[in-house]
Amino acid sequence: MRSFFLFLIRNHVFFIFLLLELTALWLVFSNNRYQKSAFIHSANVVTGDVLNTYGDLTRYFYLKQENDSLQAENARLLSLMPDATSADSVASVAVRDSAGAVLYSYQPAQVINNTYTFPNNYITINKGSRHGIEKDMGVITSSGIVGIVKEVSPDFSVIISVLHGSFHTRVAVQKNDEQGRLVWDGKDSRIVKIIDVSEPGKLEQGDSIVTTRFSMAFPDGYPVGVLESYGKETGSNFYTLKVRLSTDFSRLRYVYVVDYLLKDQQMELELNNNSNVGN
Amino acid sequence: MSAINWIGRLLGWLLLTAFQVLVLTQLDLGALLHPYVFPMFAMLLPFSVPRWLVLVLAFIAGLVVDMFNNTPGMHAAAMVVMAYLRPAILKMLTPVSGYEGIEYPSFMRLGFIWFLLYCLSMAGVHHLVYFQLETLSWTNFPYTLLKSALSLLVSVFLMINFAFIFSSRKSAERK
Repeated sequence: MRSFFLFLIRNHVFFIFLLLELTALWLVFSNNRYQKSAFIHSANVVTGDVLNTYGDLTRYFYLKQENDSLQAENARLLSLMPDATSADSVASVAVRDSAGAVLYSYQPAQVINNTYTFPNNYITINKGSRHGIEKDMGVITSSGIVGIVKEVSPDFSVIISVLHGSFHTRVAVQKNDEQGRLVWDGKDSRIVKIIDVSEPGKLEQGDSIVTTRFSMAFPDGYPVGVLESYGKETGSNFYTLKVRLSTDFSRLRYVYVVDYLLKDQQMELELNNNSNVGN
Repeated sequence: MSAINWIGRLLGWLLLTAFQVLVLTQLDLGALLHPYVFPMFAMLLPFSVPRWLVLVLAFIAGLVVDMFNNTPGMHAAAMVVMAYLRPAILKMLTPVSGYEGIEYPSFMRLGFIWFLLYCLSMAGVHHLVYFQLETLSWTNFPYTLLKSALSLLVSVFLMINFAFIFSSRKSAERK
């Protein structure tokens, strides 16, 4: 026993190295498996506050740009008002179901930390569980989709950006509803791919790509991007579509967190259904 | 080592970390250029600091940057490897006159070439480990290597500038 302790003491540097390195690697790999890492993220009290204060200071430099984009958004929303659309327009009832119930509510938030050149990108916003934000809610901006909420603290949330290796969502070509899975290959922050499209039909460059109702995170038919090119995967029957994102991640300042109010109902129903099939 | 010395180092660490997470990480220099200057904190610790303490401080410095960047454990892992190899790298680069009478790996005392080589090897270790953990795949290794090398050049350039600013300020204080 004595010699064992002597051995430990003689090699204490190596053992401390081993301990710290294994702790760090455990953090790396446990996070990759989507487990909750208690505090190592940018939504905890200290990091959130620092980023928020810094964001308050730098936000002034982008006021003009922001005014322009908010004005454009106002104009778009005005065009959706009942007065501006005919009675049978689909757009004017986009947030209500046929019975007139509200389907989605939106919580505005400011981006306080954002990267888009890493292989896996995260966004931190200044709203959290105190404002009703929950894990797995979708996040959009006026021009397109942004990501999915991953971690929530009382005042801040961390979002997995569309520009992240583990971000997936089902999207569709607007004109013929051909669907596929949106993925990012980690290279260009403006281009994403849609994989597993079975038969895209005849498409043209510039065709709109939108979200589908199969994703409970985003409102149905919300813009994702426009088609750049497409082709058949070698050795496969599926097509891959190259899409230019409509969200400009380099100027992300204001976003909306989407709360799909019927999510619990829908999920419960689908779970019941699945377990019945299993039986 | 005096108490003042430690307060100065703490401030230096805060400054480097703030510059890293608020300025450098937010810069868009493309997918291949991701410079990191904060490892400098552990690189410039005095020779008299025990090895285990260098490891612990490096781990903490890495973890703080990880929190801001949402890269849990990646910088901490890279910093600990770098800190563990510090004595070996210092030994490899021992100048002819040794390190006698020198307090810390200083640019003023050990010369520009020595400091450049020291930064390249230490930050090189950090960058390689970090970028490898970031991609977590060996198939992209040539790309990771290219990214590490290009980022390293920018990082070392910034580190030398920082070292220059700090040391000139210190010598100005002495007068």
